[in-house]
Amino acid sequence: VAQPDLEIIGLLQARLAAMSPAPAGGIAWENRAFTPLTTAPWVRVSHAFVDAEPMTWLSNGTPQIRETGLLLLDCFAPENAGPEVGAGWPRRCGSGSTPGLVLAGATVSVRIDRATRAQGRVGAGTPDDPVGYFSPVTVSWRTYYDAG
Amino acid sequence: VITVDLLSRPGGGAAGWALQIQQRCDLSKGKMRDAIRAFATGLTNTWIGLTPVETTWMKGHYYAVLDSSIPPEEPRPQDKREARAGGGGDKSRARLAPVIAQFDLGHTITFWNSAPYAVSVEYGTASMSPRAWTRKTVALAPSLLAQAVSGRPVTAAAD
Repeated sequence: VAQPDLEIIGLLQARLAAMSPAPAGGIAWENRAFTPLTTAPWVRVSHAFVDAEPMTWLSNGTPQIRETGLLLLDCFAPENAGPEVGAGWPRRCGSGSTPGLVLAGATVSVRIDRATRAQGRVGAGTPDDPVGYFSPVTVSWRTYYDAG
Repeated sequence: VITVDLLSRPGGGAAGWALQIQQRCDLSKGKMRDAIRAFATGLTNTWIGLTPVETTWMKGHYYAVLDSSIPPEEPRPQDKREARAGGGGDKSRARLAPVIAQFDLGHTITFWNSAPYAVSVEYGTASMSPRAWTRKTVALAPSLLAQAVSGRPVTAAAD
C-alpha cells in the first residue's frame, strides 16, 4: 500500500480552502506558482511529514502505520496594517484546526492534535526577508493506515 | 519523609514495606536519570541531525545550560574563516554532552542555537519556505521519550 501522503495533503488543504472568506491576497499552495502581495493578507502552506512508525497493536488484524506530520501555515499581513489585520488569519487558522478534529477521507482519517501560533515577525526589508508582518501557525496531525 | 516516619514506628511489616518502596524508588530514580539523559541526548542529536545541511555554522552552534533560561554570552567568531569553520554537528555534540551528563531529576536544561538567522530558517521569510527542523524535532519528542523510558537505544535522525 502506498503511503497516502497525497490524500493527507488533500484533506488538510480542503479544510483550509473551505475557510470563508479566503484571504484577500490568496493562498500560496505548495509547489504552485504564486505572486505574493504586500497590500493584502495571504497565507503560505507547507507540509512536513515527520514520522511513520509501525504499531504493534492491531485494529482490524492488519498491521498499522502511525504517521505524524505538521501543517505549516504562514500568515502574512501588510506591514503597519495593525494588530487586527496581523492577527486575523492566524486566529482563523488556529480556530479552524481544533484539537480532536477528524478529517475523514476515502482511505485515511487525519486527526488534528493541536494548533500553535508563534510570535509574529516583521521582515527586515532585505531581498531574502522582504518587508511585511507574518505569524507562523503550526498544526500537528496524525493518522493511521494499513501497513499492507 | 516516608522513611523517617516508618522508621520511628514499631512493626517489621510496615518497615519492610517502606524499605521496599524506598528501594523501588531508588531504582526508579536511577533509571529515570538514565532515561532523561538518554532522552536529552536523543532529542539534541535529532535536532542537530535535522539542521539544514547548507548551514554548517548553525549546526556547530548548539548550546545547553542547566537551571537557567538566559543563555550566557557566546564568543563571536573572530574572523570570516572562523565563522565559516562552523564545526558541524560533532562540535555541538561535544559541547552538549558534559551538560547533559549533569542533568538530573528536579533540574531544568535549556538548549538553544546561537545562529542569528536560525529563526528565519525555522519559520522562513516572505521569500523563503520554512525548514521547521526545530518543530519536527519537538514532534518527534514523544517517540524519543518512549524509547528512552523503555531502555531501548534512542535513535536520532541521520546527521
